[in-house]
Amino acid sequence: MGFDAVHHNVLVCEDDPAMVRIFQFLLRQQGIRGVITTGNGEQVAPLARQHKPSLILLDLMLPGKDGLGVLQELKANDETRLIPVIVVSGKESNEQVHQAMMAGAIDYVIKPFEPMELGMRIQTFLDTLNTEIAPDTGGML
Amino acid sequence: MPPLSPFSSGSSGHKRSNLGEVLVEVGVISPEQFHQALTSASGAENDIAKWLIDLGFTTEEKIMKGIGIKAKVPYFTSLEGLYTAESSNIISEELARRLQVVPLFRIDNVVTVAMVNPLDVYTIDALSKTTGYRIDPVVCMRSTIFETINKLYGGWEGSQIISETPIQMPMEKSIEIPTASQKSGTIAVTNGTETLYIDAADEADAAKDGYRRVE
Repeated sequence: MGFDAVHHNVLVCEDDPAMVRIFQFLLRQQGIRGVITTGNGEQVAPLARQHKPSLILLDLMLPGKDGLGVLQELKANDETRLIPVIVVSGKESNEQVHQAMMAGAIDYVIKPFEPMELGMRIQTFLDTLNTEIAPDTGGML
Repeated sequence: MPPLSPFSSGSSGHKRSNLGEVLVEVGVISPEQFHQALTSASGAENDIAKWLIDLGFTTEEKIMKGIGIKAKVPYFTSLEGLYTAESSNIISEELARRLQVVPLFRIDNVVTVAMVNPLDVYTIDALSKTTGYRIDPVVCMRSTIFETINKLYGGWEGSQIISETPIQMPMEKSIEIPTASQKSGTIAVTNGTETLYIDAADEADAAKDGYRRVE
């Protein structure tokens, strides 16, 4: 394992239970046991404030509050604005990608995605993040 | 390319024209393209996917994606990264090949399985009874299914399998899968290369397509 996965937890925001399990599997393959999930957009920011995840995987089409609204809410709050967000969405228009990146997403993955590629992106990202985190922070941002 | 008849068979209780209607509904093809393909197929609606592809209206990948959207299940172009060496313990190779599915992983009481037709309730039911777990289907192309079965059961060369997964895999249980004749109103038909479960009322249509009843 290229990074200290045990120090990371990831918030998965996806309303399709089957896709949630796909993400859980990919994250477990990276050695990440701390996976928090929600299928409701209104719960994302409170959960992010509570758990301070190392990374958020965010679907844009969530009930309660849409993904772009969630992203803006996360970036507007001092407690959550530095948490990196990867958008994973079936919306593939350039405008959607542009809006998400402008709202603060660090990456945009279009469904259907290549599972191995997403796993490698997550691993590479957390590996990079790990080198930037002091050991006594417990992996939290 | 092998016939895409599982999409349009009676195995899920759908009529044979449903695939075309589904693809129109989800925006993969236009109604005009559907009717043109039907005309080209001379009414042989089970060939609709082949004709839609041959006419250049769509691709197999887009058809599979459309089925995934309709069935509300994830669609993948590749299964690499979604299975481990332990996945082969979920069901036997024989069952995987017979049902044309790839066992991927189990989380809690749910086994995720890749298949061509996520609306095939008989296959899902058989897998659930065999494993003892609920089945979550994901969709992928038939060629991907067989490619992955070969990698999973037939050797590891060329594939990237992560073998250190801590996820527990269920062992296959000795539960007999009900035959088609045991399912009320359903029969099994074959064209020599594949077996479909269809409504008995559709047997005459299947015979026209070269399928005969499995006794």
